Amino acid sequence: MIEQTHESETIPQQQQGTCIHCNLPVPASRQTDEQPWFCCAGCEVAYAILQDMDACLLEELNKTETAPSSDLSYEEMDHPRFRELYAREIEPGLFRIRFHLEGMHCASCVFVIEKLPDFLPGVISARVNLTNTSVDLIWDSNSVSLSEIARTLDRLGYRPHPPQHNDAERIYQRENRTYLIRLGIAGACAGNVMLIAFALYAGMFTGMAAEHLNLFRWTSAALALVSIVWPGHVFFKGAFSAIKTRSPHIDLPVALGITIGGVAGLVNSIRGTGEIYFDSLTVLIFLLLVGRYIQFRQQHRALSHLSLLKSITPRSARLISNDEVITVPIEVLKAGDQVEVRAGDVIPADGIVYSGDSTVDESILTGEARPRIIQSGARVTAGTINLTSPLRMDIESVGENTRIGRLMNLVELGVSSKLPLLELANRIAGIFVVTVIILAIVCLGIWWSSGIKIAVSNSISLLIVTCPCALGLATPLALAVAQGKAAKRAILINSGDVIERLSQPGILWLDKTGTLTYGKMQVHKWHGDRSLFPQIRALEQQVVHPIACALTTWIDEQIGIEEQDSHTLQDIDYSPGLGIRGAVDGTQLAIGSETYITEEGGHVPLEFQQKITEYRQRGLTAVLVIAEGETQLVLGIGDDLRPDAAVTIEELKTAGWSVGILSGDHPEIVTPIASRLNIDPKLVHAAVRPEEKLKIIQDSTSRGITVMVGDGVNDSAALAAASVGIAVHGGAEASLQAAAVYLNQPGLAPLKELIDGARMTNHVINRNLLMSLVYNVIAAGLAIGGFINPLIAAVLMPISSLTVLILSFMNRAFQEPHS
Amino acid sequence: MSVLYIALPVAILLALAAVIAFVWTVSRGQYDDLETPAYRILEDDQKQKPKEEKR
Repeated sequence: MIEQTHESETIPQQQQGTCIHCNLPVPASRQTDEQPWFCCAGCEVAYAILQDMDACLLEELNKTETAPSSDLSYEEMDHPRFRELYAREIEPGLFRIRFHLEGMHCASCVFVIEKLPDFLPGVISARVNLTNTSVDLIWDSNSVSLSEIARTLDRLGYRPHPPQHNDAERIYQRENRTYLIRLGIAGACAGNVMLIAFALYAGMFTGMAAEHLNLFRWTSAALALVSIVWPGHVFFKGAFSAIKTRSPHIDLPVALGITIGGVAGLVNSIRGTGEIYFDSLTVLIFLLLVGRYIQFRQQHRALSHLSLLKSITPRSARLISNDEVITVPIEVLKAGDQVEVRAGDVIPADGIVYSGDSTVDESILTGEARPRIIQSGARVTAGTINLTSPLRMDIESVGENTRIGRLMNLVELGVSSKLPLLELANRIAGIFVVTVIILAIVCLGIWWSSGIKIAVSNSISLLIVTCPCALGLATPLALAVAQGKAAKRAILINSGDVIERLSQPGILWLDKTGTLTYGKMQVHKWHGDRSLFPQIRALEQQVVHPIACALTTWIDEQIGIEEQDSHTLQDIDYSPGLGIRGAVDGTQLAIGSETYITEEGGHVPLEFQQKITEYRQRGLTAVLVIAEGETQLVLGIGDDLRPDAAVTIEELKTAGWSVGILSGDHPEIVTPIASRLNIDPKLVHAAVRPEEKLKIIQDSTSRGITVMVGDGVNDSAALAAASVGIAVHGGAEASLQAAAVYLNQPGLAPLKELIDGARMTNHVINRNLLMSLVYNVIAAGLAIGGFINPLIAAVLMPISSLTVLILSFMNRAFQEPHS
Repeated sequence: MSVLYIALPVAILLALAAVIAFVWTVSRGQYDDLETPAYRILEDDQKQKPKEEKR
């Protein structure tokens, strides 16, 4: 090792929000107070090594404590049932498991995770697959427990999830391989037929012995037959289904061209004169399959393949059996079991509470920020969060039978039942077929006088040369390029048809919490006496509640965190959802809503009354503080609008979109926000349940293009059902799964960029289609004129595809803005 | 008898061999993950021993 000294000045200036090591965006959870920021543990370690901090790498890894590691124990993974479900024994004592890992995205991640066997004895091997962000582990169960491996991965910043049981990934893999094999065969046939065609073209000018001519022709015929029957059969299948469903499809003209070309080529091979067309046909099949493959890869969702339900419900539960509480994998639970839910844990199943008093955050289902009070006998649902104190419950239903499970089924149904978009290319295809056939008949008529042989030969040339190769490539290419560019701008588009769906303005529904607003409570306005802040904080720290948290964090910012300030608290009485009172350092304090304060006997003077009204009009919740019966302070707490919300909505309206709000929150909170954003009150729906959101979106979709923008689980069914579902930055995993687009940047500005980019891309697609039509018109003209010899046909075909290719790459959508 | 009658089948057979090899690699799953292997070359081969075990 060469000794190098690094001055602190040599550290390059870090761009805001990007990893200093690899320049990828840094997740919000890792944006700590001290710079430099890293996007993952791998970068942190690699950076440390490069900075030559004199530390051995493995030791470094062994003590790496990354910011957002959870304090999960993963105990449930040691339960025999878990191993039975997810792991395979490959030799006695050796097991193999695949984990999906959160937050794995670059070379450093691979580097760190594959080093696992070196610093965790008992792990035999770790193979990472970046494409689906998973790792294949082999471990020796005698020397290391699975929970320990999981904890290590977690500590490094990659939360492990067991694989799911659905087959989407396997099906994708199979299809991917089938496509590749088809491409390989089509490519080999096309290439070899092309080589033989060169010989034939050379023979056209210099003369060739008949036996060689025949040899070449028959070889091409054999190769073309392989290409038509094996890889080419997809077009025939598509064409048949298009005829059956009476919907035009690009496969129809393609299949027609291939059939006529193949038959004509065979007939001419037998007769030993005329064109054989096989070179054009095989290249056509190959190029079209390339387009198909691009389209297929586009439509595959690149997001992590966690099943929806698993990402919402916890993976372990605390089962009560014979007065003992044991941690078990969630799969073990069944109706009739009893579980304990600690404060802060996610409730694992639907059921009825039989002991404990607590509050539960149900925002995941309702979108409402205020927690619900739970007492013995109350029903609770899986996926909601127990906030304040432990509960014990009887389980009624688990897994897919829970309310959240049913909701997720709706999501999957919504994704699968969406009507496929009839692409512009396909809409043209129907007209195209008819036009070409009419032209062929016209051509036959024109040349009839010169003899039937010439007439038929010219008509067939026309049919083949107008085969819509570029037409089939135009859409997938343009979409693939746009998708790639959008991904660089942190707009992840999961399926290509999104872009075509966004071509015309329609109606755009926005969720409020987390989409239009920041999604967390903050103190925005206050009026009164600030000397009470330390006491207020001491009292509010006793409860877990979004408003209490907002208050304490804000007071921390206002007066700083003093470690040593301690207060004596007495007679604390907390009324969930209303307020809290108690004696702090001997002073009687009460903090809460206006109703709570008046019930407590507090008098609210006029100046505070005015403030309360003012805050309410802004859509904020007014919180009052009284000390010894006197009102001292009023605070406006709420979830404020994102700065770019108003601007973006104005721009969208100018572009012709109508904008509405769909929120699960209270009308009194939603209405002021809607009026501040200038949104038509007719299009504002508040207090809607997830099922109702879905219904509104379905109605709206039946009337036209409907875009839904949201971030929560309660939006996910609606996102799936909308023509285009857009999930915003920081949303719940379920919303990412359900949406077709994910905006990986905070705020609403990317929404505008997406819609603009889609418009530009649609222009490119239209230009592409126009170009290929122009080519076909020229080719048809030449064919009718009798000028088409196979050489011209062979030159025209690739040139038209090439033009489409160049036009697609020149698309200016999703470009970096010029600063 | 022209040399073509030998050369052409040989050429086709070569192409066929290439296709068979390609199909074999695809079905063995060698194209399933096109990202990770590119990064593996960045790793060292020799295993360093940690200075001390921290458990």
